[in-house]
Amino acid sequence: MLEVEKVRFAYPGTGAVIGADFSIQTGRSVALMGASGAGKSTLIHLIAGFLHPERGDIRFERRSLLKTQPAQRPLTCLLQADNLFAHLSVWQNVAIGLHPGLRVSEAQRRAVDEALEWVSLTGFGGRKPPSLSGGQQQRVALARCLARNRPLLLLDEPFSGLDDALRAEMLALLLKLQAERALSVLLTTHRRRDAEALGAEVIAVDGGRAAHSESFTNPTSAPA
Amino acid sequence: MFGLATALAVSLVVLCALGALVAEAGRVEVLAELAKPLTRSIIRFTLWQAALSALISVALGVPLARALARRGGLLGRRALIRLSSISLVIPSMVAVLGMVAVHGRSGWVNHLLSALGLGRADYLYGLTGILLAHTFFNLPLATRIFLNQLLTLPQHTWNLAALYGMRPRHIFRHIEWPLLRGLIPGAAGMIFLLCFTSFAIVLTLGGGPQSTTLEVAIYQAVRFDFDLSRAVALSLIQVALCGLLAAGFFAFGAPFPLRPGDYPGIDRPDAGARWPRIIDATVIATASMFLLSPLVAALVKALAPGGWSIVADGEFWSALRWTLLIAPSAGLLSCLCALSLANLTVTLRRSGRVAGWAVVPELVGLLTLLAPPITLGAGLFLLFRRFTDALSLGPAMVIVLNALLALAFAVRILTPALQAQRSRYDRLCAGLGISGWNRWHRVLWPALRHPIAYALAIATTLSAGDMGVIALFGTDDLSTLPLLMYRLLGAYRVEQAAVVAALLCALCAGFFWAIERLGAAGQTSGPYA
Repeated sequence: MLEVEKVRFAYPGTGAVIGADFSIQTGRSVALMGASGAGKSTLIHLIAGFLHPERGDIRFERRSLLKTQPAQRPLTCLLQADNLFAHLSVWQNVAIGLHPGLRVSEAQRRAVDEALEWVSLTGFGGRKPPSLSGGQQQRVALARCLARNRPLLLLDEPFSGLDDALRAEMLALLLKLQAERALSVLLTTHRRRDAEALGAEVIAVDGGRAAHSESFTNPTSAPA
Repeated sequence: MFGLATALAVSLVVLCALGALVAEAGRVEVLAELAKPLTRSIIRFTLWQAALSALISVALGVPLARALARRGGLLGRRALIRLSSISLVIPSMVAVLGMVAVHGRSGWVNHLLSALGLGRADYLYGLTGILLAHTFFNLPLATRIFLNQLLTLPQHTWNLAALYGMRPRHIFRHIEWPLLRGLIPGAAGMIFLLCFTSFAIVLTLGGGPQSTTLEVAIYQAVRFDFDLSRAVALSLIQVALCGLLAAGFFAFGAPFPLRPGDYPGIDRPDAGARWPRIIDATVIATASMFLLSPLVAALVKALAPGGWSIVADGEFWSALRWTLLIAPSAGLLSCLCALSLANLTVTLRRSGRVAGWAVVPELVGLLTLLAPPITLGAGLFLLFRRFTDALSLGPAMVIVLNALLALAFAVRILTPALQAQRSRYDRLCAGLGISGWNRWHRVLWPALRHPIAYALAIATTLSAGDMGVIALFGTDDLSTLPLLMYRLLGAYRVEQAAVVAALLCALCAGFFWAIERLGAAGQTSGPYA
């Protein structure tokens, strides 16, 4: 279980503050919804460890993650942009998630191949990302998440920039992934339909309010 | 942490040099030196020639940039722009030699005048010569700054101008001038600063105590008059003035186009009219003649058979060996320092809380503006004189000082490239645990190898062509190709100097070619083109 407990984060310079207090049961999905600028991505970055909360705690299976480096956390993430190294091949882009120096074992090699097969990109291993379509690039990034095999998956606007057909394809992949691996998934989106299709619990932020403080909480738990 | 260490090391060298000057100042009457009429006239002349050089370069740069912008399809336009983009790395002694060959007593211009029965004109040495050479270096710089700006105008601006029937003078007044006006103070300020600290040109073309700059006066006090207290006084005056000027320079924030950009030809409504055609043709032809003739004349002189005897001279081989040792070492040192300073800058900028400190490493890279080569060298000379024979440290001094001088360029090339790569991939690297060597090797190097090679080529070529630091520390045993050229010109062995100039240019071109090849090797698809 992921627990985000009374987290508070203030953006340096602007004075804007966000707060969050919620949890995700193992194997379940949670979708963060709200207007852009509400702090959805910031929350993903806090959990991933790119940013540090000034208050509160983030725990996974009862152990605090705050002192852990991003790569050591039991999670993997799909960011809004720049998920792939443009100068590395597709295969290398997946493999670098298994070893940062690309020195992969035989078993890891197979894992990379399987992950590419899983997102239907077998045969694309030698290509460079700029030669792929947006949807294909997104799938390469997803293949890396898959190969990394971490219990928590963070997805920041995984469907943005995809048309309806690609969106449906990506949703299908995510559902299949979650079913096979019992992953906990946290995603941000601005379309309720995507959240519903994933069967995710929705945590909404009132984006209409021009407030300086936003709070993400489970509907059932007490507000922070 | 390399960045911090480099910033400290660079500051330490510069501050030690300045410290040595200040420490000596206690024993020196700086104010008494300042009161001397000779010193005052040197300061006046230094400011005057820099102001004139800046004025001329900017005043000619505007029409030249306008002509080049208007003539998108002109034959040779690309070549002229390319040439102007390397003007900064042409060794100053090569330009001086070209100036002598064109404008000297028996140069092309005088040949032409006497052929026309107009007699001879002796105008090269003194203020005119200095201004000619400074314009040779800085007109291309000014032109490129203005041209870059003019070419930012999109095609639809010109379509509108055509639609409203704007005449060339309306276009200048309402479109071009408002665009260029804002750039003029920065461009003029930068050229002023470059000419204010000019050394080799003033040393060779100044021709006497009435046209001497502070840099040359410091050099003469150290190397010829052995008047160290005068050297200290002049250096402190130089640092104070440079500090003031550099502060002004930063206030204007001048643009600095190093890379030859993409210069598209644009369809302009005023290109077809008769008068603009005549004006542009005149401007471009005159400028090309002025900029190309020294280089061609130097080459023609080098092809004369008389000069090649220099190759049999031991002096030449010694100078070549030192150049081959000093230039790549200084280039490499400069590039390493620039890379770690750039990394520190980017780290600080990205850190959020202490982002304001990011200007510090940038300023360290520009510290040499505060203390130009001769001043810096004089400071180190005084510092080491206390412990050892300062000239025995010559080679190391020349390498370190040349590296520092090229730092300003290298930092400006590498910081934006590193910034782009890191802001794109830092998160991804953190998420995947790619750090240290892996991050450098797999993520940064593939995108940075080209800018690194470019910075290395610039720094190496600048050091190979340097005729400032080497003049101060040069001895019979330690000389480089530019210093050899200076000695040959002083002995009126112009043909031999021309051969050395040609070989020096070939060497610089060779460095550039080899280093850029190295940067491109193994790169299948260039993310940095």
